[in-house]
Amino acid sequence: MVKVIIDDIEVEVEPGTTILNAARKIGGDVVPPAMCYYSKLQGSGGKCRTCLVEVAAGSAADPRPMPKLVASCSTPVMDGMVVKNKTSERVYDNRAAVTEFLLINHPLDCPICDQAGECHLQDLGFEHGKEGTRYEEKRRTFDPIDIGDKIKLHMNRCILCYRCVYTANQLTDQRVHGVMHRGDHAEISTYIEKAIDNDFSGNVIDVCPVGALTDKTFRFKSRVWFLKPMEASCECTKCAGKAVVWMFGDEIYRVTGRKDKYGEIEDIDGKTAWICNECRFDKKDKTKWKIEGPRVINRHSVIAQNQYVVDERLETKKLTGK
Amino acid sequence: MPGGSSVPILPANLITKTAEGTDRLMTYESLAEGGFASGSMLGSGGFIVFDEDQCIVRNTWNFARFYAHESCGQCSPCREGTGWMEKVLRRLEHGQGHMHDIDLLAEINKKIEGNTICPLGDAAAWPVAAAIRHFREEFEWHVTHPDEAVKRNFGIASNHMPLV
Ligand code: SF4
Ligand code: SF4
Ligand code: FES
Repeated sequence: MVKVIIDDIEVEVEPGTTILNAARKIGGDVVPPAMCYYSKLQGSGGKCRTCLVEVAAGSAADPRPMPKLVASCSTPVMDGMVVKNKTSERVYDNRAAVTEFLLINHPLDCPICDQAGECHLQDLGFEHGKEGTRYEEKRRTFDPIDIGDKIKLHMNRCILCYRCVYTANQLTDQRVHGVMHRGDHAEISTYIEKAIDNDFSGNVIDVCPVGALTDKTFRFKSRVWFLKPMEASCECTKCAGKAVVWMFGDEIYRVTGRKDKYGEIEDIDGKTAWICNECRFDKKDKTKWKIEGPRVINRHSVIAQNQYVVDERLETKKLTGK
Repeated sequence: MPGGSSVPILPANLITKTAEGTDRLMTYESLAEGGFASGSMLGSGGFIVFDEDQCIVRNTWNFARFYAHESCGQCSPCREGTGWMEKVLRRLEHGQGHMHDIDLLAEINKKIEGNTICPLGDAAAWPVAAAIRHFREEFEWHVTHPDEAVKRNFGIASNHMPLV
């Protein structure tokens, strides 16, 4: 085990753990935001640069600070490392800059975006964004395209985190979509808009941190904060059948995987509970699901406003007064 | 410009002599003297020489265009930042810039530098930063003389004068 100090809090982790995961072990607001890293996807991370942190001391053996900010999701900890996240001005400054870079070509059409309310970019912009833009040029635009008959791709909103590419790579057997071109005209594309045809392709919607990939069966139906998330399960031959159904009255509006507080699909019985397309798109009938109870949405974004299960983090705040 | 297109550009007086007045040699150490404020790097060892009639803004735009095109698009600061710098420089060069664009450029490249996965971001940022540092009056001239800027270059610059 190695010891690291993050924002003056000491934590012990396995050697080889990344700074981000060490911070997640502490939890709370020590955790840097991560737009591209997804612990369930191999190789993800290092792209968006929102998780930059300052390393004030490299290790016990060599306590020199690192000259550059490092991406916490892809930098392993060393014994005696001292990391600054929320205690560092420099980190805040540069994270605000990364937020600005992510937003200069973003349409910010949240009022008509299905992701609004559970969007990581909204959270990031809320915390680190500026009120105005300094970008005077035309934003780059693409036409929305259909990926199969159930998924809509709004390339305008994409932040090129590559999560969906890794998902398609690791969950499905024939990946037909990927990143084309490079530089600021890079885009997610299916080769000639070919449908992704696989039972698990719908999971790209769950991993997408923004509203670039959305569920067409839920498109413009409601806003997420009007819906009640309920844990539900069903008998399914293809997947574990453990999902969250989003209900309005007695009707199921949409089905998603069970996401933890970092927006990642949870592990259930040691396996990541990805759900299959049939559960996601076709089972909109309440009788097909066994409703287990309300789902805790442990996020600080707008859905939490509608919450009827107490957030344990808010609870500790009340107890400790911090 | 010593070291190819990715290092800080220097005016003639700083290429022949360092800021302290000692002779500048063609070595890695000597060119690095003075840090980025008054020095540069030998980099690849390639040299680009501009005479006083060349347009620094156009040349900087040209480099920025190259880096925007070469950026692989994986990480956000480089992908968005190089494209942004290229667009601002294109506006400046074509007489559509504003005074605040110059500070904006300086700000953007400070935020790309060091925050990217690979050194392409740094390489894109340094020449722009240095061009503004040493040839700011030429950028300002492009803003104050938009009509002339599209017709002719800044011309004889004041680079024979020692920098303070
Ligand atoms: S992706 Fe997020 S920030 Fe972008 S329009 Fe949708 S809700 Fe707004
Ligand atoms: S479509 Fe979504 S998941 Fe895919 S790269 Fe873009 S933002 Fe990431
Ligand atoms: S989460 Fe670390 S770079 Fe994106």
